Amino acid sequence: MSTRKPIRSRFVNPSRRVALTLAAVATTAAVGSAQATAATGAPVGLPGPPPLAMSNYPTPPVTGVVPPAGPAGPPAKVPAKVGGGPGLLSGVVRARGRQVTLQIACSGNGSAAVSAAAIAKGTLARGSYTCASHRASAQLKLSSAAARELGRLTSTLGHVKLGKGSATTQYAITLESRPTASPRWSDGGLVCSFYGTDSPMISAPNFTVQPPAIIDIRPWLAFYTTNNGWRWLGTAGLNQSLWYRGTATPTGVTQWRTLGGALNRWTWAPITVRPGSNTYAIGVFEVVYWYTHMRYVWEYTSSLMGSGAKTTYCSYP
Amino acid sequence: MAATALAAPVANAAAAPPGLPGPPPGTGTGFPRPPAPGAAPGPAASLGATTLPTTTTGPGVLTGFVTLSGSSVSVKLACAASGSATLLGAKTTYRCKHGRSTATFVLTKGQAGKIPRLGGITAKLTVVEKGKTEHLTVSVSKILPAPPYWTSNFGLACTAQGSNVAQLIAPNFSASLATTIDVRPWLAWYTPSTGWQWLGSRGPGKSSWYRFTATPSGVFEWQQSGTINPWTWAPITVTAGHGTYVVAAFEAVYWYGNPAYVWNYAHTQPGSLTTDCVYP
Repeated sequence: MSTRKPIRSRFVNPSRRVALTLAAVATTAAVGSAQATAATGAPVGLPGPPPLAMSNYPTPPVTGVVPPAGPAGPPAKVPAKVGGGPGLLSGVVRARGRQVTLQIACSGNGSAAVSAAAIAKGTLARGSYTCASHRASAQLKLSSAAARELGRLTSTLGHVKLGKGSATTQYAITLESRPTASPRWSDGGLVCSFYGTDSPMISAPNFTVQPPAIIDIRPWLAFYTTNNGWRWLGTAGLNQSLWYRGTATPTGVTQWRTLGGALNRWTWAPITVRPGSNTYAIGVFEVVYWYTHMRYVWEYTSSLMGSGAKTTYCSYP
Repeated sequence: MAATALAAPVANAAAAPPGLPGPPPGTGTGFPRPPAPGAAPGPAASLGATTLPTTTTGPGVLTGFVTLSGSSVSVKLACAASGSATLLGAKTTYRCKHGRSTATFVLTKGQAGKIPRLGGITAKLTVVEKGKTEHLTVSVSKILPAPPYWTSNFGLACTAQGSNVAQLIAPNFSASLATTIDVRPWLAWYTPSTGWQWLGSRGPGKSSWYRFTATPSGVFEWQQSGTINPWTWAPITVTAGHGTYVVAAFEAVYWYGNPAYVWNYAHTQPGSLTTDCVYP
């Protein structure tokens, strides 16, 4: 778990191979180059990695035990109240030289600290921010060595701590030195309004790998409001989600195929968004591939509109 | 999922409906939860004996396909009393005379402009008569669309079990990629005094979803040793002497990664394909 070399995937769909990493090594994510929605109050950038990225892994599968098909995700509501702590306007943070700027949705002044295990242990940079009109910009400065290392990695998993005293909140971020493509699963997605204008569902990608492997998937819905910034809803609540196990093969997940040949994927539905809350949402799946050495990856899902068109976010005015 | 159009409704009887009933009530809403991962559909029992009602709980449309003229939309109703109605936020009142009325709605320019761009929309029509609220559904478009039909020849057999007894056989749903589907059946019936009314498997205006697997060769669960045993609803008895017209419709949800919803009429078969079953 200590190498810094990205592993070129041979188990993901060949047309969509992605550079994977081991825990504590660089991971990828990037700012979407163009947001599909230009409405007022649209997110500044993508939410970045899910809050438990590269942590809280499931127990490895027992040798020879084939997992049964697990349950679907339960009906869920995007909460109106997410706690008083600050949030990020973008979870993708680009360093310009040594300078790192965090854009924050806030209700008071506070401090910010950035860390990234792949660059160095402990805090890389810290600073304070002043909150005005629910917005703040924290300007942090990396050391020359940290900036150099980030330049070498291009992109890595980082964490930020925001807030003041006991009201400190931690988020995972993608810390990058250059823009990189945002990782996105090639099928499945967040179906924006299937159960009604404000009621989406999530459909898991049909994970294909060569050779077959037991996989664990962990689903997330990242949701954004002007006042709160990006927040994370999992199948176990705010900032918590469960792992769901299956067997990925070259033709998809074995457990999701029915006797009649239908593909009944893992789904999470219905999800209810509070009407009139001007909310944006995007789905994310983390996956652990249980090869001899465990491999981990997370990617966004597409957001699927009624017309079938793909967009970056589902939007709920 | 392919649909094909038939000619205009048979209108040889004096009291024939001026058009088809439009979309089923609550079209595109009330979807079931997706199938559990990997879960195959369980057995879905066919529906048994039903008698079409002869009385209604409220007004009915004379046709559920209505057109936009400028910014206004007129919906013809079979009514029992004067009342009020709402369509796309536009409110109006109507006067009922000799069991007929026309509710005319004036839409905003924005709404009216959007309808042709979308190629037509499905809209909720709320009618309040004698203090009772009725929820109907209409299709609004600039140009009348061809009514959508399932391509399967299965459908409503008008006199399958007697001159006034029909049988509904669900279309043999097919999909190029095998997928779980949920299907919701409807019967729409019309008499000159009631307009179009909807009967589902749970009663007037209410119906249930039935789960199957659609494959390229039809519904997997219905194929047994070279024969096919489709889902049926029978016998459906129509009381004679009311001048009743009947059509059937099915809604379907295809559980792809991006689920697809569609509704179509089922074919009617009194010997050859027609639009509706007629029971004088």
